[in-house]
Amino acid sequence: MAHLEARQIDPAREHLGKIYAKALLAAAETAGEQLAVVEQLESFVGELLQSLPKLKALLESPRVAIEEKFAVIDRSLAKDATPTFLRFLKVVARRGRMAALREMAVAARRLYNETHGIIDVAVRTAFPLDAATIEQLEQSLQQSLGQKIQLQVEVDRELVGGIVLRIGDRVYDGSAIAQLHRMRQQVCEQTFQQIRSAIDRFAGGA
Amino acid sequence: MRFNADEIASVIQQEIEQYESQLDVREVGTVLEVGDGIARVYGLSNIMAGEMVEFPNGVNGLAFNLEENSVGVIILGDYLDIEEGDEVKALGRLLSVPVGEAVIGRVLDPLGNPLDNKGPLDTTERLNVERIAPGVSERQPVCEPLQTGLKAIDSMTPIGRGQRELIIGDRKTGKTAIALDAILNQKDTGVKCFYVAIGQKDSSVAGVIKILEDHGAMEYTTVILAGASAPASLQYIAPYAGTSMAEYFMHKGEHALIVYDDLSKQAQAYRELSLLMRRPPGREAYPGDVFYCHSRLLERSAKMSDELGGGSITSLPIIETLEGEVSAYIPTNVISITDGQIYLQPDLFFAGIRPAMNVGISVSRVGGAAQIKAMKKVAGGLRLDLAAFRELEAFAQLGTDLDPATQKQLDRGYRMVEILKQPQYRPMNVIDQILSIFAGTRGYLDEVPVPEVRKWEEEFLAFMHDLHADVVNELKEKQDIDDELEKKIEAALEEFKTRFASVAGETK
Repeated sequence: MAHLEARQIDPAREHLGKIYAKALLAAAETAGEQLAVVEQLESFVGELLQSLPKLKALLESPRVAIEEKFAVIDRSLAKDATPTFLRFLKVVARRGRMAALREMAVAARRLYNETHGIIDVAVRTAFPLDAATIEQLEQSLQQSLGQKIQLQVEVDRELVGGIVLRIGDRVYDGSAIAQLHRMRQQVCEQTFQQIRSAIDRFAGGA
Repeated sequence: MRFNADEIASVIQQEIEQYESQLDVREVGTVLEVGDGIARVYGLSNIMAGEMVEFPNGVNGLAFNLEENSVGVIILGDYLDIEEGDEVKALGRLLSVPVGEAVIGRVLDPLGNPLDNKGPLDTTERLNVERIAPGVSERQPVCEPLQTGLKAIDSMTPIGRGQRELIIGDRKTGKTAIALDAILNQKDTGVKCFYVAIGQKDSSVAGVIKILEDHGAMEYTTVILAGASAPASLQYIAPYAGTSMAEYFMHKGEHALIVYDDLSKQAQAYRELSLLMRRPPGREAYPGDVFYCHSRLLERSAKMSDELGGGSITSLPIIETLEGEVSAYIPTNVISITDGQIYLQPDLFFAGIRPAMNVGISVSRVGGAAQIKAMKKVAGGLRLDLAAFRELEAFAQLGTDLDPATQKQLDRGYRMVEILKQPQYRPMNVIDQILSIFAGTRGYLDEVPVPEVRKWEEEFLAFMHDLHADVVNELKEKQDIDDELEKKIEAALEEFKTRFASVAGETK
């Protein structure tokens, strides 16, 4: 899901996405297909629209008649999609909010995770982790947080070493680069303080 | 001075060895947009209003607006190298400034960074910039005088320790000059002075600092500077930062004087920030809480009760009016908050009456409680003389012949007005003021030609100090004029009268 999120943040669209996601999940709940709907939305936005830019342009264009958009949606998805999802796409198309589909997908996944007690954890490491380590990390996080985890792993060479976890807006930074920065700051401060308090020890001569 | 490289290296090595690695936990957000001294941040979901944040370039900010999808942050410093997408870290604490004895004599910016190239501030204590003012039970009524050294003020609109007295007037009417003279007069009184320069030209502030240095006032004064080129956020917090530094002394039982020069510019800075943050504009485009911006600042100046040390902060806020318009928004706000105002008018200034104070409409709501008994006695007579003079002033301009009684009152008035004039940077001791006004109200100036009144006063005071030092000392000790002392002063005056007359006679 990282690829869905890595764009510029537009708070207005985010808000819109949240509203539509909430409505979608509520509608899907009665049919018992919340997870299905979230997955379909993610796949639609992340795979289908990504690979067919013309389809995206068509659905977003205000100059195309609504009936045509409905027809396109039916033709391309009728066999694979659930009725709830189809209806959702049509509602979005009718209201001209196709441009915010990406934000709706992100918000829907977030909302689903929240309501089902799943916490999103973004992990960044300097070197790629092997499957066993990731499994271990997932287990220990699940234990300490007491909830199900959905991990998202990324490699960032700038960290030099160590690991950085991000849960919501809180970052747990155990990277080497952060330690180095902090060490430098602390050493400088302490040294200055010591020099200031006992200047004679450190300087001499005319 | 040569540095001992080995020693320094060994200290650094020791520090590195002793370093304990820690996990860094922080709340973060992402910059959505930045510019004009503010930033919009996405994330920071647990941030509280007024919390400090840090940008990657080391600059701090304050969470100003908490909105549904983003946080509006005002940047306390240079924003030019902050980029969209930068990570913003919440610091979990409120903005604070260094306080203590170390700030005295320094020139600082509103965050406490030194601007005078005299090395870092050597203090460990910090106080929050935003603090709650003392409550009702923690205070006592103002009872001690704060002598400004200006005859017009100390006699007619006396200021007490713990009072807020507004200095209001058009540009170039001498507002800063009054405040400066008040600071200069606090020499050897134990009162710590703070001069907060908001939105002023740096050259003007440099001039002020030079004056303070030349008169030895920097030994007890701190200058907090947020000049015209400083970001609006720093101009906005400068008065609060200065007040925190003064509160350190107030809570220790000591006295402080703080001058805000000027609050009009601080209101403008606050308006700028609020409009950029899209807060709804009210009258004159000021935000709805501009009154609160000033009231919470000025309420922190108080006289503490004796149980809490009896310390005080006296504040002299300065407001600049445009074309004498005192019924504009900000002036009326601050007038209703302060305990009195000193009106300075340009026509008085250009007529040579400096300080250009309009005695008729200037007020001190503390009044006599802030005066020593001796001054109270002579000031009453002065007020009456000036009131009568003002009534008759119009007649003088008609050029008609007036009856002797009226003419006498006019003459007395001219001389009293002349007595109240005072040159800049020459604050006068309260005893000298009392002697001067006493002479005037008892008619000893009536024979002196108006242009010579100032010279008369100078020579009279020199005469008293040289030849009648005992009378001066008695007045200083008693702080009151009883009948006996009154007679002594009058005798001295008679003596001086003959001397002055003889000089005048000789020159004729």
